[in-house]
Amino acid sequence: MISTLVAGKLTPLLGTGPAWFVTGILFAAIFLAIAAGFAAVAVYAERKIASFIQCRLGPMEVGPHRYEDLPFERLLPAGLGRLVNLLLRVLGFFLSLLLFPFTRRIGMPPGWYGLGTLVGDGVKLLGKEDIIPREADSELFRLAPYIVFTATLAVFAVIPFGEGLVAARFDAGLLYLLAVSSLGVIGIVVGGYASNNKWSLYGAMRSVAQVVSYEVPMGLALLSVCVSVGSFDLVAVARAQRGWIWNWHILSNPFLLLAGVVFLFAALAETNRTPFDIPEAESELVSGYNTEYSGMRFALFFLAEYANMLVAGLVASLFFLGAYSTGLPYLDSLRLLQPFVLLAKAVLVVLLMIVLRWTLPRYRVDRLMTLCWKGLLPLALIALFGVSLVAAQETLLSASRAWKAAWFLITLAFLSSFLLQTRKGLGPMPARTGVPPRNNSPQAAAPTAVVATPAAGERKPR
Amino acid sequence: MTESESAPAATEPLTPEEELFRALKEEFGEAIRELVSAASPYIVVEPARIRDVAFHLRDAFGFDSLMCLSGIDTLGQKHSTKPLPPGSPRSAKPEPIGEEIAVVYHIGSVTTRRKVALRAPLDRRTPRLPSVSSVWKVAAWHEREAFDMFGIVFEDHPNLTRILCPEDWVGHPLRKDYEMPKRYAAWEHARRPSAAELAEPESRVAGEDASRAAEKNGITTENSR
Amino acid sequence: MRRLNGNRHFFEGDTLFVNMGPQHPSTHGVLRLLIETDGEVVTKAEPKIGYLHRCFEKSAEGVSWEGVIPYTDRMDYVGPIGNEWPYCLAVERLAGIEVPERGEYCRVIAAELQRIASHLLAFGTYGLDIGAITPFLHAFRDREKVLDILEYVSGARLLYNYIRIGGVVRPFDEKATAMIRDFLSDLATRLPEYHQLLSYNNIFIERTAGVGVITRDQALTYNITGPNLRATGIEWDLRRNDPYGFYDRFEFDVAVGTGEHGVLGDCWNRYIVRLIEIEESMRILEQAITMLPTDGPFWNYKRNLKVPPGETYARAESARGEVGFYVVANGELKPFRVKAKSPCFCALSGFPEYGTGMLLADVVATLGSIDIVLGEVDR
Repeated sequence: MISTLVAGKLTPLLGTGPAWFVTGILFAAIFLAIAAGFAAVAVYAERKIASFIQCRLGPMEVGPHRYEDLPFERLLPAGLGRLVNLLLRVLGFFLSLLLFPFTRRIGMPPGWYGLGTLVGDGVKLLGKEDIIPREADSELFRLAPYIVFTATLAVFAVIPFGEGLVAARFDAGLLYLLAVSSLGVIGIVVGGYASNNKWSLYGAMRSVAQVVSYEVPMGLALLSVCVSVGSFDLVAVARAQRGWIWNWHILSNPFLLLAGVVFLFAALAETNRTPFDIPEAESELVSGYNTEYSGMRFALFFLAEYANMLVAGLVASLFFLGAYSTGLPYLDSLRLLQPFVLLAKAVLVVLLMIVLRWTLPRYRVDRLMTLCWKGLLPLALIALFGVSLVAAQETLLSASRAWKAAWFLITLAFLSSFLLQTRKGLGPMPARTGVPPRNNSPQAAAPTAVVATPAAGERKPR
Repeated sequence: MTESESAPAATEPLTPEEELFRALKEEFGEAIRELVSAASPYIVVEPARIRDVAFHLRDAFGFDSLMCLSGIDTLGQKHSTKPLPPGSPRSAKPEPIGEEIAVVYHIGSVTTRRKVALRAPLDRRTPRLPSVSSVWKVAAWHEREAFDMFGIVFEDHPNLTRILCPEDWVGHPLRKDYEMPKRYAAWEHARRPSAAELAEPESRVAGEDASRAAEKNGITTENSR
Repeated sequence: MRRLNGNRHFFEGDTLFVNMGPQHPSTHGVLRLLIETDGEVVTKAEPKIGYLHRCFEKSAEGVSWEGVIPYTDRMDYVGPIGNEWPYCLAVERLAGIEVPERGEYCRVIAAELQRIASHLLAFGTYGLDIGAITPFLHAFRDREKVLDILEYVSGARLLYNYIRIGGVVRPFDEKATAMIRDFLSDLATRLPEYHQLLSYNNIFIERTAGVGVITRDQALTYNITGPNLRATGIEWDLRRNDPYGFYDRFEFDVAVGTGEHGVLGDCWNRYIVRLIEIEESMRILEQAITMLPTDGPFWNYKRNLKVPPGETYARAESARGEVGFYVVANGELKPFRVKAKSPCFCALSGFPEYGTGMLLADVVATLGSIDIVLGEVDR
């Protein structure tokens, strides 16, 4: 794993000699477990959230209905099988307690809210036939999913999950992050090209255009954070946000808030999620670059997508949402809590991405580019410029508490006005100017068809 | 819709169809043969002049849309669709009908709300008549369908190929003397890759063939001409 | 490493030929579009149809007059009532059969319910084409209720065989009208949600406004009817302009494109016309269920129907436009010739003209907005 090597090479913490290799493997294993486990849970969560938005129940059946029907009693010795079933019951009970806020019931219903899909999906994907089209370039075809997945996983290496809890700390953290996270698109291009399918090729081309474009505003948005912190080191970025909640970058000044918003959009595009999922737009490109993939190779792409979402969430939390800080200085000293705080924030960002996906239609490819180059890029530049000004003010004038408080209040004002605007957008629709009322008794119907005149404000067709 | 079932006396006002019939008769003379007052009246037109009549109907009378274009094979149709004259005895049979393939045009107007039907009777052995796809563009597909189903040849059609049946289909299914094949005739003669070719994917003879066929299909798109 | 030399037509000059369909998520059935693309821009699109061809016109020549009705169901399988009606109109006209008053009202109710169901489906699948998955399931939730009502009266959920020659097979009774009332009050609260979810979503408007414009002249020369024609601003609805059944007894407006976003005749206007038509259908339904007689004959049934020689062309406004039937009778127990005119067939024939010169995503949007059903195109 690249992450392992990088982690080993560059971590002074781990020292040299065989020890770095072992620790590196350990870190890689942990990250792999986090990514895979998160993907499984996120798929389930996404399905449940989607069903909630769509007024249905989602998976409800895949889970134990009657414990007696499960194969354990048949496969295992009698006593052991019963014990496993008993353990399952207990597990179900505790799970139901965990789910109580959402379900308002204690005890698992038959079917376990479809929790069996967590396992079932994985087993199904592993067991599926692995098809490589005859005309495909089979070496590249097989290589592609690993490139995508590795690139995603490698990002984990530099993310500080807590004070001193980072696999690889080095000064050029941001550069590494940007460089490695954009490697994934190479895998997508390779996969799309090697499939020898025109839809895959389209998906790959779109993906390149999209990722390469969105790298720019994303990089600028992250850069403005680094300007504010004064370092490319991600640990320094995290440390700068300790203490009270107004130290979080997104609240510390309005330009960083702007940078955060730019980053959120860019991250949505980088992870190929709706409304920017044009590389795999299923109604246009069948399934885009992964059309020809099946079984485990498809699962790797899939896993990478979810891991990518987690990475996007982690980076967003790290750079803008206070990293592992809770916003209360008293709690920050609890080191054990820190990784969970960071992960919780990342999950919240991921949930936002999921909700957006199930609410919005898809952008068109040219609009996507317009949004990037004419929308996000100027905004990111403004943010960078503004952050530089603020940084200059802090170094040249003063960094007093009054200044800080002023910036915090301005940011709050911006944030609340933004949220209010959004709320207004979600409010009741303006009355539709539909069919004008007219005398419509059949006797009065004119002998010739009425040709309606186009309304004012007519736009020219493209 | 209840149209006048008998020829009206001279004092009665003309129905819209009769008016149209007279106007067309003045313009085209012998090419307009007769007005048949079925449940939906139709005007029988000389097939060779059908396009001129269609143009005239569109430009002079505002018939802006071709609602339907149907082929019909009258083989085995014992009776004409003309109603019996009023007062004829119960035992009277409608006049017999000749064996022909005909094209029936149902034409309407969105602006004047009028409707009219034209009928062009054709020889069963060599059904040919001019295409009206230059008058109403929708006719292009309708005529392809009539060609597919009846083998009617439309002259000056931009692309007269089968539309609903496969391109290698044999016969014209809606003709009354069509016999339903037990097998897909074209498939019987199709070249299938031999066992050796299937066993050796690297030779890819069959693959080349398929790709060449696809290429041919791809390049000769019908609208390009 | 093997090169991709198996497909020599893969890169052909500057353009790429792509088969869109017959298995493609957004061709709404088994349509094949042969498209030629220059980058993302589609320079040529040629619909290839016939994958669902059953030649029902041939089958119809071999079955009784009543027996054709199920075949017509299978034309437009998401709006079968709209096909049954014109066929029955044609046969009734030829055979001189009168439809009882109650039967006529039942036909109107069934047809309008069907129109709502069909437009809801069009709304949902159009959302899918644009990439919004949620509206689809919302629409299906409501469509389900229509299917429940129609199942209650006809016994079937998709292919109803409900309108028969001389009337309908079962009338709407009190329970059915109560179900309709429930449904209407439900739907009235849903429609604003739909507008919020999709119609006035900025991304949706960007994707559809001004895209795939069908001009009035194109609409007329390709005989594009129904919502697609009305979206161009031409107020033409057979229910109003050539009334059949009891449509002259109801108050309703003919929905035309509003031009609120984009230009008349574009995707957005075609879409919004369907949603307005749902409202108008609700108006008709409200009137119809109050005017519906509670007793009396509803089906003027003729056993072993023999239709006297004659021919006619009858048309009716289905959810997709003008469905016409050219029926020729030979004085026998079965039809001599049945020809169905399909509105989707006509609309699709113009696709090379109005569906090219745009981005691939716009082709999908345009194809979705004309709301074709391939069962009807191929017959």
